[in-house]
Amino acid sequence: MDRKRVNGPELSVVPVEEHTEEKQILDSKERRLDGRGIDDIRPIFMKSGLISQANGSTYMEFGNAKVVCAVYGPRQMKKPSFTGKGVLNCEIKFATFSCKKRRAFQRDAQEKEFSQILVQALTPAVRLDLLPKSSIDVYVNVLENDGTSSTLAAAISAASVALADAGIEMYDQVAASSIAYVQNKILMDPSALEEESEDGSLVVSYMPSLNEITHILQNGNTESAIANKAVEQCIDACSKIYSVMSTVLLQSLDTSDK
Amino acid sequence: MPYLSQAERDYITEGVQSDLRADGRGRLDYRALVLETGIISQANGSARVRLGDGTDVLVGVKVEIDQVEPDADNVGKVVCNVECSPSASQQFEGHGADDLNNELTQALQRVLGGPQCGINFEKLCIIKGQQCWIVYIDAMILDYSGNVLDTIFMATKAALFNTRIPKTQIQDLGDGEFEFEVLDDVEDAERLDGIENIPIGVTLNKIGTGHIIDASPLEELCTEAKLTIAVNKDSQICGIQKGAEGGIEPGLMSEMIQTAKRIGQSLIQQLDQKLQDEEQQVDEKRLNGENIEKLGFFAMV
Amino acid sequence: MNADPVAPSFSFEIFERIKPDEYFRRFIEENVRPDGRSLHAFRPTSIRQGAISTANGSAMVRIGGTTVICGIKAEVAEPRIDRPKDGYLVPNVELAPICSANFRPGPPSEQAQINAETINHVVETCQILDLSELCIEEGKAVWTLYADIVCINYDGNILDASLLALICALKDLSLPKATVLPSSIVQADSSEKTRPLQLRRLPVSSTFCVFSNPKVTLSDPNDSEESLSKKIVSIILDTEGTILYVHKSGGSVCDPEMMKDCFTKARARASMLKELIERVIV
Repeated sequence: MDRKRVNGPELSVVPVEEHTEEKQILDSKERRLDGRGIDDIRPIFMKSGLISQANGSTYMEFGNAKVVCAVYGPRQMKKPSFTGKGVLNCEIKFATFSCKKRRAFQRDAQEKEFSQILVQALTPAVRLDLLPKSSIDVYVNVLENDGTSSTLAAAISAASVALADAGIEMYDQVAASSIAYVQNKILMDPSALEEESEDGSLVVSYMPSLNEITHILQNGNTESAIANKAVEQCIDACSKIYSVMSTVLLQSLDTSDK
Repeated sequence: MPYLSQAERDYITEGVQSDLRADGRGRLDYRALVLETGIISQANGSARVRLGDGTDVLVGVKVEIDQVEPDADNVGKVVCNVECSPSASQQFEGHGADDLNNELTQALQRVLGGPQCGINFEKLCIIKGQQCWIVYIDAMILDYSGNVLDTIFMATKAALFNTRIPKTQIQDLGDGEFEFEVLDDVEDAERLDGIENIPIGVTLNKIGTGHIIDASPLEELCTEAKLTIAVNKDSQICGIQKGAEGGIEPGLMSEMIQTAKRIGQSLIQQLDQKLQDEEQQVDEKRLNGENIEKLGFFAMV
Repeated sequence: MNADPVAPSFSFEIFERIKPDEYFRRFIEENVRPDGRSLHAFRPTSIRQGAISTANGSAMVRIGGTTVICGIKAEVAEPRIDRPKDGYLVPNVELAPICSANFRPGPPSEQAQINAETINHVVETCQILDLSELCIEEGKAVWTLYADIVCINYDGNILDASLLALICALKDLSLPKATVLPSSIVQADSSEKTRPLQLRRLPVSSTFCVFSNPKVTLSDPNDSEESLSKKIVSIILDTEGTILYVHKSGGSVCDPEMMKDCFTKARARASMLKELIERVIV
């Protein structure tokens, strides 16, 4: 009984699906369900500056997924304690209607972990030493989820662009990409359907100019040779995403000049 | 939040570069390990691991019967939970440990929560579509002195080795109806199937230009980036997770993964050997009717 | 009413910050608002339906800068004993820190709760829809629609945007055909989808902001105008002009002329939105 919200019935369940057909992830010509090759990432649409209230913001769309990120800061910390460097706070929230199964309003353990991952992935890139006693708040809202690991990667990239859009000094942009291990193959940028049959997944976030990996998260069993190859592929994909991010930021400068 | 002075930081960083750490260890040396299983009589399995004279982790395993998940009706489940006892460190008072608890729980659940951990989940199912065993793994950090995640993995592997699941007897009543009974006899309880495949974690900390294993708390404060790699006995990588707020260059990361694999292999071998030995000793004593003395909680080693 | 002497090279942004009331008054005296609108103009409104494929129904609404997305997820529940055929519609409004620096993380603020309750009240009491259309099997299983309205960018007038988003999302709602099996489990067939909900009325909200000094009523206040005056009047009509709900916040007096004026403007807005909805919604 959440007293601060309008409540529905005490218990509601998701109905069981009648037809559960096993969809083939890869067809005979190694094409995926949406026509992509194994190494192809989905086309990305990114635009910055859509949230007028925030200092910086990004909206990102790829496949069916939609991610919004807003950056507020640098601003005064809520509980001012002495810190020589600024503090980066990240919060990621999946909207209740964003996934196949409805999510709760409160942040669950996965969202809390993803929030910590965002902080770990972005901190190496931000010049926090220039902003003592300040906090930078990054809020990511996932409006539609099309592959959880791809969404996490997208959140990192979107947050990085939003930080730059907010005018916060950074060492480099952070681009992130994800892969899924399916039947001994490495599928780049998995969608939600492909994730359901995965044996493992990998998310890598990378700063291309500094050549540093800022975060890596893998689950599932693989041989180390395959894991290494997967990491290399992710780094390649990150470089491609990086150029999209740079283009978006340059475009936003053009429009603001006008 | 403890702070570190620049002088201490330099001392540790240069020590790492010269392969001579503050406590005299080399870069890839573990502290002395003390391990004991079967110390909690009420749990189906338990183990306690003490690393050096600092990090102390207790893992208890309980198995319970519950409904199967509707979309996975022929397998059992593993549920992990990690909690830092507030007495372990000042920063764990009240809600201070919440973030760390969540991070460690998710890390453990990610590696052990699915078929990739090697446990035979189908054997945990009692009646398909109805009841299954759920294995609850609860880890408690009694003392914090760096490198908790590796210790938790080792203690969990030992506790699962020690776990015995009661046998069930299924009666077919016909018409698709089943009934089962749990046999109380301790002697009949079975070991979990597939525990030799359970991975352990190896955490490498990047300090300056070198990396170390089994960091002490001061070394953890100097860590720029942390990489935890889960390996199993077949040399497969079962999970990679980066921690701390710095970056790692890709070449160095591959090197760290190789190092972790090597060390993980040797660690698993030694751990398995010791566990077998301990079990053998206990079984022998039991056969001879001798008293089994456990070190338990009060011994200082 | 003193006009403060202003230095010639004074930045208007700084002036807005330190003397917001005075800044605002100077615009109103010229019969225009700081964002360039006339006193009774509503901001450009756009609707986009069906943007979220994981939701059973969704709509995104923009009124000027204020952007909200309503997503509806459907689950199955047992109906109330006294209403065995009625389903549930559970609206909620989320004003998260992402949409404005004024909102802090945590449970819903008073403003969010008020908006959610208003929308819930209008839906329950004004015969907007027939909840028995959500029935799967009488007394056993009914659909529960969780309509969650998330604000992405907050620039004032959240009520108008939320209600419009809810209505458009309800019109977009499609549910799979569901049957109750003998084992009491509900089975759904996603290959057969229906649009069960026929909205009897389309409620449309118009919000006005009342100022006493200068004496003026502004339609569709944005965030800065809302913060200057706490006196809000919200009028919810249906698209035929029937009054469904009127709310005037306390703390000041409003003369009847001004209220009549608001009603007229609300009616004009309702017919304009009726056109927009018919144009955009399939």
